[in-house]
Amino acid sequence: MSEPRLDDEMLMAFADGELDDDAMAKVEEAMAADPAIAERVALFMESRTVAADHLKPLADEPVPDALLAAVRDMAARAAREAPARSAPSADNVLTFPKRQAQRAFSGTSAYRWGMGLAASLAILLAGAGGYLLGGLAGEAGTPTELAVLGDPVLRTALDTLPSGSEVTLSGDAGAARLVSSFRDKAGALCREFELKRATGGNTVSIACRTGEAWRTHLVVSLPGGEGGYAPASSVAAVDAWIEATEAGSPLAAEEEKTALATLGQ
Amino acid sequence: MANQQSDIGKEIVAFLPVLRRFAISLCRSRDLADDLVQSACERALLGAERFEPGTRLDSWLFRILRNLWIDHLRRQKTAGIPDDIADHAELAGTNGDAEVEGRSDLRSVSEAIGRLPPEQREVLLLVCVEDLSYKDTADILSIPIGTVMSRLARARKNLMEMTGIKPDVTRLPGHRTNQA
Repeated sequence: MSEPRLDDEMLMAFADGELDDDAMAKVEEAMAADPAIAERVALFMESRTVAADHLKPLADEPVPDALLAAVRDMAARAAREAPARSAPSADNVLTFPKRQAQRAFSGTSAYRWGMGLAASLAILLAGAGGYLLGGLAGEAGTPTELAVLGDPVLRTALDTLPSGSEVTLSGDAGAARLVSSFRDKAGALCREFELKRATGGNTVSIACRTGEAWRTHLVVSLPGGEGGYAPASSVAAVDAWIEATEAGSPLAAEEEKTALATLGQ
Repeated sequence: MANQQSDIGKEIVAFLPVLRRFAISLCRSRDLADDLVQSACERALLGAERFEPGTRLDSWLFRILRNLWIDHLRRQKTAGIPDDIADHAELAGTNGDAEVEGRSDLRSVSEAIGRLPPEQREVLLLVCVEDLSYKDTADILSIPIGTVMSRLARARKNLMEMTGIKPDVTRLPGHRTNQA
């Protein structure tokens, strides 16, 4: 399979939700592998936010009286002068289409606020040099599975083990620690877990189970090489995602046990 | 009985704040913007017969307004008015402007957008402020999608370069702060 050129325009298209699922997956892999790429994506996202924050409020200004009156007059005159149409049909109903709510990368979205859906794709540079990579599985498309969920040991752990457990990943790739379980806004079971990779890439992730599969919704990458698991700043980032997506509180032990036991039913 | 003409008229009036936002952001002057908006509405109402029901009224209005603005720029050039004496004044207040961290060459967001070449500014506005897709933007401007993308990428890189803004960890969506 030929690799698409990861040029700036592709990264920008990713940031704007203009890529198909395959292309999106490739960019996400590249971002996970190379912080410089994640930073480029962050720059494009930030540029959009900057322009929008600065200029969108202009539509909140009241339209000057003179302009409003002039246009209303013109509209009234045009309505009087135009011959009345025959009985209205569907064709004659003029509506502005809904603003394209699903603006960003078809599976993931930073911009679907108005839809009340989980949002929050942000590439951020955390103070300690780590970065936050967030994503959201959309309703329609194929969400991207990051490589982390390819390990059957991890998948089984997500399916069965209580929070607080640790498992060693296949092939001595590292270890995973299950941190908490909760339900997302739609009621799907989600789990927060930390990965300590033998190669040194530490991450905190959130994956949610829809149907048969666990799908990653958030990965916070941490400065590697430290002994322990996630520092406070990454916890804050995860909390912020949970808040932004209106996910539920962590499940207590018994609730979690029941939830895991009834997975897939 | 529904009358297409009066429906269009109502929709246009309802759309005025958004159309005006686009105009102000394009031409950098509220007076000129209001003139352009009024002319665009006049064109739209006079040409309403030609509007195809079921197509997008907003795209149609953006297109009309943008073409009027291009005409205006051409007339300015012909009249010998250099268009880099465009109005770079603050249009949208200081909310969100970059802090100039000791770099005297950094520009405010407003100034930076004003300094973009027109072809970069218009794609930036349509995509990032009016939230249109690349395709819809390409249709409005009658250019290929690839051209939209290259101009848009340059616009955004220029914007960040001119303002010196870096991605900010506090800028999680939904956590708006008052500073850039």
